[in-house]
Amino acid sequence: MTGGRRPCGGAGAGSSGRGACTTTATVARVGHARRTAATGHTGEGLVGGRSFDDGGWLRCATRSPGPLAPLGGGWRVRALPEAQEVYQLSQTSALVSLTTFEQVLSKFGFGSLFATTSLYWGKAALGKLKGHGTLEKSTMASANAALLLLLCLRWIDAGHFPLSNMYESLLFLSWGISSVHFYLAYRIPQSGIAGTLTSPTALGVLAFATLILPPELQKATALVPALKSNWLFMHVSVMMMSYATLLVGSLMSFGYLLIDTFNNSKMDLSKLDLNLDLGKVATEPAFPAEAEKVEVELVAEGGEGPDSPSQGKKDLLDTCDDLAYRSIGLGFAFLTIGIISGAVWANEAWGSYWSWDPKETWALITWLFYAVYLHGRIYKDWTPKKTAAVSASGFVIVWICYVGVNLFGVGLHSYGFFSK
Amino acid sequence: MERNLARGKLDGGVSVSSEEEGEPRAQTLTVEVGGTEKGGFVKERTGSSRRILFRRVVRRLAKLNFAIGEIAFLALLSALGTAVEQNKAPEYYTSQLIDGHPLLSDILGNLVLLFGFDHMYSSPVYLGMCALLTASLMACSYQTQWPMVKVAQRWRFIEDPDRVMKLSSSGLRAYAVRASRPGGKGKGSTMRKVSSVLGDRGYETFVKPKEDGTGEVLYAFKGLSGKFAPIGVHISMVLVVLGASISTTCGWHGTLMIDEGEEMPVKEAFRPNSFLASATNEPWKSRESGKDVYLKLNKFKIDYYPDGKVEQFYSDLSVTEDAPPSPYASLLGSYKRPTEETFQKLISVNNPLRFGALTAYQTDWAVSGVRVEVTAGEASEPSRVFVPMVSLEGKLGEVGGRIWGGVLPVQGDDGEDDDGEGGGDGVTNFTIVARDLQNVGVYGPDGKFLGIRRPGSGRKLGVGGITLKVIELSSSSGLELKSDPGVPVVYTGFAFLMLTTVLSYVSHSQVWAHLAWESEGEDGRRAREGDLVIGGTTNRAKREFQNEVDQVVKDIQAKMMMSRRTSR
Repeated sequence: MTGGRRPCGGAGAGSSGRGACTTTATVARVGHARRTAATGHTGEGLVGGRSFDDGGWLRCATRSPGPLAPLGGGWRVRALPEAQEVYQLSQTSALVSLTTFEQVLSKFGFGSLFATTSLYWGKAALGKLKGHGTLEKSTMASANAALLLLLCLRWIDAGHFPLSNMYESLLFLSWGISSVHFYLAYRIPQSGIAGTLTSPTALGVLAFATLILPPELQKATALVPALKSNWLFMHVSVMMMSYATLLVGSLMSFGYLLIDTFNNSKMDLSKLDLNLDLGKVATEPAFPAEAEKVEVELVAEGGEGPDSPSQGKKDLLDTCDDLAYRSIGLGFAFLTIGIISGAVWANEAWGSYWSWDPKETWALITWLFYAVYLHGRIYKDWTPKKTAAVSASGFVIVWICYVGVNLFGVGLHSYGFFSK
Repeated sequence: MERNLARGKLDGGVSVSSEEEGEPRAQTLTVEVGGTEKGGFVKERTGSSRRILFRRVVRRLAKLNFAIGEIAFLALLSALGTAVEQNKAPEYYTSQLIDGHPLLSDILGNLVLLFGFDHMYSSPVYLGMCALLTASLMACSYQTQWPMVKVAQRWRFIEDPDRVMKLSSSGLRAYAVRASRPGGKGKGSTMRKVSSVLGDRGYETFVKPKEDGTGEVLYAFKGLSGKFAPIGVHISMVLVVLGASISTTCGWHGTLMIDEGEEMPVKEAFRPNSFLASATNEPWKSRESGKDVYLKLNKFKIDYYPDGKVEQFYSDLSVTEDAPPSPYASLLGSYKRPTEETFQKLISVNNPLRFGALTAYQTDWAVSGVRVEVTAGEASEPSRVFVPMVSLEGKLGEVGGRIWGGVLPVQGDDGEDDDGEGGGDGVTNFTIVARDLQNVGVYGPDGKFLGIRRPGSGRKLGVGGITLKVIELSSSSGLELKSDPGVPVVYTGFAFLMLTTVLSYVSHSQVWAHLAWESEGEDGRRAREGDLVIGGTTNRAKREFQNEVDQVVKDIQAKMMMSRRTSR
């Protein structure tokens, strides 16, 4: 697969010799010099000062395989794909280098997202946001296309599905968020409010991936045995899509809370979107010339007309609420499929569909959390504001599930890159 | 598809088919359903006190806020389980739970141990919550969702135009479409247009004249699956829990470490998950012959990437069983029990061996020894020896990771130790260590480093007159054995869970329309069409539904225009 890129063979043996020379002759030091280099003093040590050459798979093997406690053992460290990313990060020897074209694409995507964000925010600040404008749509579309192309190139380049490290998964997340943006813009075109929140988020994720992650961590790396499966594509892509969709949903709820809080005379967010006097859409007859023949009358029950300020605010809040509900409904379905595909994969690969690994557990927590939101919506005593608060805090939960488990090294997942 | 599904449910449920469209029989049907429901309820009320208690418990469990609390608590416990290190020794919790705070650790640690949170996911609290949530799921399906299905299956007309108009007050859509001379071709043409516009958008539509003859009413719906799917979600979750219970009680598990070329009985490696397992199945028996099977490791190998990282682990496994003893066995003096191979597979990570109810996964490996060619002196003939190696993991101080080592004492042919430091009586000790199957390190007496060799490279190393040639590393493969009768149930639950969660995204939309008939002519028997009122509601996608109704009204307008133009 990637064998042709490097001269085979000699690499391992060569470094072995060098490593051995630098160590004083204790029996243990020599064993495998690549590792010695990492633990020791040769200076070409790996990122983080530790090496995990054995991969997640071997690390699991090092735990004593005691009897599995029913439903609660967790004796094994398993290399879950997203967790594996972090492990992969700690390896500098990439098999594939970033091509210039890939860099151009990521810069172009970054620029497009930046332009999209500026457009949405500029229009909103000037009070001229009316739905999704053509310009915003085209810049967002070009960002989406650039990211997709970038991912495809890396797929071809590395020969495996490009979700094997943090950089690629962040790219995918950014692409996912902009895709969800288009889905929402298509289904609920009334309000551009979604764009004001999705575009900066996609931008932020991409910025972190391209600007903050060190370049050596952006390189594609070879897959460890545990990830060599067709399930990788199925499981990880669906999980990432669920993260993207749930994040957007939580953001919309966050927007709801913002608008609900800031609607006084000093700062009125409820006038953000002027396209929302919804009643007018249908009152325009389809054939204006013959309008006098067939009248269509909108019945606006509830007293206030669409132009009154409180109605405008209510419409915007309802739209945010609806955008959040639809995104989370979709994200929840993705999350369910993602968790289940992961469970099936685990059963095929390791013989247990659930083993309470922290990553797994947090996926379950996320699932339960959004289940609370979905049930809270139909529970009569919960106001929309309360459910919005629940779903907005889901933003944090998703991030904990996505990177936090690896970041804090909670439980058995101390892969070490971030924390050490 | 959605349409068919909706229709299918309707047909299957209370045998209302679309042929009855517009007939008042639907009304009678609703009354019947209502009647039986009420009858059943009354009967249960007069039942024994135990039944009353049962109903009270069910109602409590089915309460939405109660269920929300359960889910939230379960999520909290799960999070706590990832924050507290699991499966440590009790001393860990009482002394080092919180670094640098022995007192706090003591208090919290004892609490952790008291509740069993050191093994959270099998603690009584956690399992109890799971059981409670499962009970709630079932109670909710029985108490709330199932009656809702019954109600949803009736298609209900709204005969009062004002009620259709009022639908707009709940943030949904209602329009009055006033057409001065709608239709123009007599009764029925306008409703047909409405019906066809809605039909084009995937709605099931039902039209009937009003009982009092003052107009026509329409009821249309789509996305009925979105209404029913949540029940499916609950039932699937119960299935998953059921399957998981079967797995934990009726399954078998075990680990097996086999040296290359060796054969191990599977039965002895298996441990039952509970006493129920031993009563139900025996996964080590071949389904065809009924004999106990053995696992034989023909070869273990590791593939490496060019840069030395592991690409994949492979075990070439055979499933064998006792063969009929050979008549020549005693003659040949063979002490080996004869076996025959029934199945063979090259397994790797992500690609296990399946044989009957038994599955073997590649999970571990070890270096078991090294085969070297020793030449004890220039005059000596080279001889091959096998040096067994043991794991030195954790025994070498700061050196981490997996490492194996073995010692090879060699008696020099001149009977003298070259360095005079090795063994006492002319024995030179070689220490051989290996990290993986790629190369081995060899040390001479006094820990003197001699070099690193790739097995099979043919390059010699040695001290004095003694030379070593590393032929090959011998390894053993660690297998995880499993037999899990719960998997089919869990997988069924998984499949339904995925399907029903996706279907739960569908929004159940209903549209009502009311068309007034105005009497015409002197006898008042001819009627012409008057005002059309159209409105609707949906349970999920409110904004999308509003857009849809707006578009429906536009389409109806357009159709009316078209027919007016053609009739002119």
